[in-house]
Amino acid sequence: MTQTHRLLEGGLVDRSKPLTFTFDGMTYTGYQGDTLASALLANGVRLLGRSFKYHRPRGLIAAGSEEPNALMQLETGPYTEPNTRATCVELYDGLVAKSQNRWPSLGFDVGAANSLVARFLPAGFYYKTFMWPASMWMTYEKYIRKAAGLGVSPTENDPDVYHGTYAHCDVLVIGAGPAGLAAATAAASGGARVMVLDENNTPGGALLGTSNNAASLEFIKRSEQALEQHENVQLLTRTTATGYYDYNYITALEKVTDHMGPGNGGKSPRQRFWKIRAKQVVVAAGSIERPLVFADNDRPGVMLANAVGTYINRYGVLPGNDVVVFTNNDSAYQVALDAAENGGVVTVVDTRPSVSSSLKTQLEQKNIKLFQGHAITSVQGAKGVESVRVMKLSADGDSVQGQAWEIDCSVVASSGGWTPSCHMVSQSGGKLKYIESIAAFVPDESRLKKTSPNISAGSCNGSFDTATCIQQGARAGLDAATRCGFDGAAASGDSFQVNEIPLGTISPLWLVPTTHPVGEGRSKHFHDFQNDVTAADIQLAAREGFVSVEHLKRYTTTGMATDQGKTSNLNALAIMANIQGVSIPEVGTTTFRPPYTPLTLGAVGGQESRELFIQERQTPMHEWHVDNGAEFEDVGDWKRSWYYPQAGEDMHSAVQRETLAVRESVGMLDASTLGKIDIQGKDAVKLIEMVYTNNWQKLAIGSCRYGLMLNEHGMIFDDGVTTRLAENHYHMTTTTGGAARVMGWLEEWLQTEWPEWEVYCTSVTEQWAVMAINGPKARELLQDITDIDVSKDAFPFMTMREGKVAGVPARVYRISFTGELAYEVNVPARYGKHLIEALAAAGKKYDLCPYGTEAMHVLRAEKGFIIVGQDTDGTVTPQDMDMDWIVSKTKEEYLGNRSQARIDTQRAARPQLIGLLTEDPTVVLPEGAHIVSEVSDAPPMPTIGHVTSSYMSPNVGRSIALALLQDGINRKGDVVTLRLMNGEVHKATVSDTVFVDAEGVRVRG
Amino acid sequence: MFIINCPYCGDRDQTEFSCHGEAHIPRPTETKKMTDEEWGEYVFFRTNPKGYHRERWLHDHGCRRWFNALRHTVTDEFVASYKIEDPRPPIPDNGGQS
Amino acid sequence: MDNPVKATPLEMAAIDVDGLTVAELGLVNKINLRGDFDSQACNAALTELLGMDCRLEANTYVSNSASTLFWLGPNERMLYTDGDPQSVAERWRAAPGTAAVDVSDYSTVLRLSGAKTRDVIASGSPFDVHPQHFGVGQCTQTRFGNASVLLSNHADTPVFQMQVRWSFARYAFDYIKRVADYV
Repeated sequence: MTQTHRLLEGGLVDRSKPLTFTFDGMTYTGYQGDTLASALLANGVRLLGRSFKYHRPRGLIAAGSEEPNALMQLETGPYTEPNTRATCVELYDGLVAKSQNRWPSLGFDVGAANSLVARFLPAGFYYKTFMWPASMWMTYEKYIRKAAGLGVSPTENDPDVYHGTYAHCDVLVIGAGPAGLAAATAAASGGARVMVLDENNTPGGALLGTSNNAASLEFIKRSEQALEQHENVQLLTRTTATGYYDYNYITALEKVTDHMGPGNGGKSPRQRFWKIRAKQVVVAAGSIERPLVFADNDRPGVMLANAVGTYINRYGVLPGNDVVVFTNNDSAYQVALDAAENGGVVTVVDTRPSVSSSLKTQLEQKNIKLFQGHAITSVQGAKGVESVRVMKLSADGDSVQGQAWEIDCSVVASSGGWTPSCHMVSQSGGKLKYIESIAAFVPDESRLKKTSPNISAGSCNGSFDTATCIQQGARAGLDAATRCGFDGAAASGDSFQVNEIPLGTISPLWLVPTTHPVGEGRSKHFHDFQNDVTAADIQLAAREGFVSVEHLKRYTTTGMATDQGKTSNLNALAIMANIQGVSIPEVGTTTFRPPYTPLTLGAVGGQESRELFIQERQTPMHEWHVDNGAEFEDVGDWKRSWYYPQAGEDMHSAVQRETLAVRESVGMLDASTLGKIDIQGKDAVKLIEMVYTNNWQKLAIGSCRYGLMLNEHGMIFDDGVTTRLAENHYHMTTTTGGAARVMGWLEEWLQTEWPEWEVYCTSVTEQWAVMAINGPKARELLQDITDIDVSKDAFPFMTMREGKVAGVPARVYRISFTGELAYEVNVPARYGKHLIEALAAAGKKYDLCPYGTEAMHVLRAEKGFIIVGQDTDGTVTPQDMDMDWIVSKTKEEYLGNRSQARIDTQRAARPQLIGLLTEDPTVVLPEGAHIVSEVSDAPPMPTIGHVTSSYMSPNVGRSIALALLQDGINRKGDVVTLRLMNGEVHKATVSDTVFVDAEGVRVRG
Repeated sequence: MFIINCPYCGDRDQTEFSCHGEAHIPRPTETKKMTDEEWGEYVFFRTNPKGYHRERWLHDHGCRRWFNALRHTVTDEFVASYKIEDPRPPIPDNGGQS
Repeated sequence: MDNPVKATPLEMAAIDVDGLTVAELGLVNKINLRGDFDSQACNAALTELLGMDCRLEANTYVSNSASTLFWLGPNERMLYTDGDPQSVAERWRAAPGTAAVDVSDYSTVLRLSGAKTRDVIASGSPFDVHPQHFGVGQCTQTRFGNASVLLSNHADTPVFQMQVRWSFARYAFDYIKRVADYV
């Protein structure tokens, strides 16, 4: 294939570096410096996709990130990415692209039949048609999504890596066009930390698309060199500011290696997500040209005027030989001149009744024909423009009249004026104001959000000539730096000659009339190309009362596609304003939302993916568990040993074995994850008295006590054992998941309510490695490796002793969560591994069995010990748990005390904790199973309780369960009915919650 | 994403902090003498202003100090942050516009 | 059993790549000190205990040959010491209104150096570590990924230390290792 539309010279592409790529299976050649769009255009490929709703043939509209049509499925396999804009894809050798939303092929698309039934697919069609019955939506949706589908997602894991990083600067400049470069240079001159972002692969912005590249490129080079002199300046290309959040927090996506092609980036991340905090922001984001809304303005070949100019000047591609420029302002005349200069046959159709004589003269010099006060009324050529018809506009612009001229052409370059890119300022919370002279919104500097200070400069601020952009940019950069406390050099700005024609007097013609009323006949006036929304849809929305801009948007879906309405929003507002007979500002604008352009979730996640997605907390004994075949359970962020399967064992048999071993010989559990808090100070006991429900004043030094914590609602929120280490020194333990919450709870009360108390809390969770040894042989085992006297009388239940275990300093707590004789051995974490190895070695002769959290759960349930967060859910009181014994009747105050006497906590028939024994002892009820008062065939059924814990207990020899049951404590012995999700119905007897050793003999043994 | 001024550490990123609701709600004493309504008022009811709000913040990932802040709930402007023991800074009289 | 094995969370793992060197400092004796550090009595006791002027601005540290004292909060300091933590803690507790906890094993300390150090830290922390903002002698508690860390700047070259809880050490280390390739 030859590059039929490539100019012999000119542009910023490197003709000595050809690159080969494929599009829909055809192989083409482009050059280094091309985008996929410019390369396709160079090869004369105009038909690039099918539209979203009507499957109409579509081609390029733009040359930048505003492109609504040319969405590509890029690359294949795990690297495939849907909906990439061909205008933003830098060409690399071997690139593979496919068009989207067509079947079976781009040229012949079955879905195009939608076009024939277009009158039945108006705005709101889906809402109206598929609303009822609601249950059918799931069925409809599948087909609608497919029919309306854009690209397809990869099915394999993403092989690429991504990087996220924070950054800080004094002045952030968004955009490195003339205004942005001037701003950055000025801001940097006084020493401020400056960051400059630009979505292009090279700075320069709109200058890259102008026809006198030499002077422009010199300016860009000068600016780059000036910035390079400052070590505090960072210029990031291929980097798009995607979001602007409170307090000048700006996110940006840097495409680090995308331009190299998949898998060619080496160790570098594919993309980098910047999270930037700037003291001041200069927005120099440029502006986007608006298309004119005329009949069948979506035919491939109808483009934005500046896009035609950019393809000629930057890429050396003449999109077509016969060019019609259709405009309502002066700026597009430069494109007409550029096209003629490069061999095009050009006609200008201007909607304004008259244009200046200087423009006329310039056109005449290039033999360009001019129609003043005319409009394009139709476009011929289904898969590409072949000709246009031009007629004279009426004085009010509402209709056309007279003779129709047919002009053969392959390109229509349309310009409806320019829309400043206010996205960033709007996202920051700033408000916009409408400027009649440019027929567009710009940031209202008097209504910016105080917490996000920024200054707009250049064409995003409504100034469209390069000289003013540079002046404004320099001023803004200096002001921003000054606000940060830096002096800057005088903001003179740079100046040089640019071939450009300013906007001139724009004469808005928001909806170009044709020979029949809009919405009638076969032609369509598109304003939103990507979501296929036409002027007729806006008329319909208005007729049906969806006149508010927010309703208009959602009802017609205008501006809601992946391009976020960059080319369409203002046209839609203006058309609605005309219908309603109000001004554009009265219609208002929708608020711009991030992201500015689509971004990958991979980039947002950055490095925090896979094993860094959530921190995996590990105990000092983790490696031992791994070596001994443990399966792990996630508890909070911790990896806890769940069970240790032996050869041939499944989870059930491993847990049964471990559970039996603890009651028959001895087992050991890694309990290091329990929260631990060191509490010191003369008022320590006052704090402990306040946070627990029971009495602590008389706890002897060296003794331990179980405590229950309530919130002020009177509901249980944590529990644990606290030990008095010395006169004013305590060691508190919490649940694994509650450690941080309890620490925060203590500190909140101390710091905010009782700051005069002398109490200091310090988390020591990881200071101690903890092994719990449980079982009848626990004492014998411990005796073998400690110098502590562990005899029954010397070391009674609920006390703590210090000494050496396995030769290292230890605190041993005789506490039990299994109801067995048990010790919790605490050693400094550095000795954790040593301790578990020493225990394993010493335990051989006692058949020591390592057990995990699942066996721990069974063992504690056999004893009716609750787990906060499993048997409780934030709505249960100590009384509900049948734990009134732990609530002091004598203490004046403790947190949650008054709530014990609330009407609700006192009411009858509160759910209470009971045991359940199923009629069939082999049935293990699912946790969460509902106890119902009546059984019917299908829900709903009146629920009177639910199962909170349920296991097969090898020690009881049957299944056991704990449940919350209304008025349960009074219902022991009753038979209740459970109805499971799968329809099974089971009977169970309400029992006590203690299934093993009800007298508590073993634990005191 | 706010910048919050910790009275001890200075300006920090919001992700170092957590917010814990309305400030200046002292725990009543002699709670046993309170009616259910009075106790309920303390436990369950909070103001929810559209405008300036005094709230409690914790510098979790920093100095672990609790402090109070005066924030505007619409503009998210932090007018002041102040130590627990400090007097309450006044509410600006501009009606909350910023 | 006579010679128990001591371990650190990372077992002295290290990273040595272009622009970044990371080393685990091993077992550092650490004591959490509490008290009213603005008081004459506390300040005198601390100066006596450590043999240096211990008045600290917020988010700074001081050190001498045997000790480094970090500001953690208005009434909280972190002490790294060559001395026996138990006896140092006991001596500190003798001052009125104080508390001390041996937290030697609660966390570990990573030493990061090389040209990429700041970029690596910026990848996970929203705290600005630019030399103009965070110089030698400064420390801060902040967030690195999801881990709370104590960061300190020890040399312009640069050399940073990152103290991280034992259970988060592997996560923080893996995090550093991953981003070292990306910056």
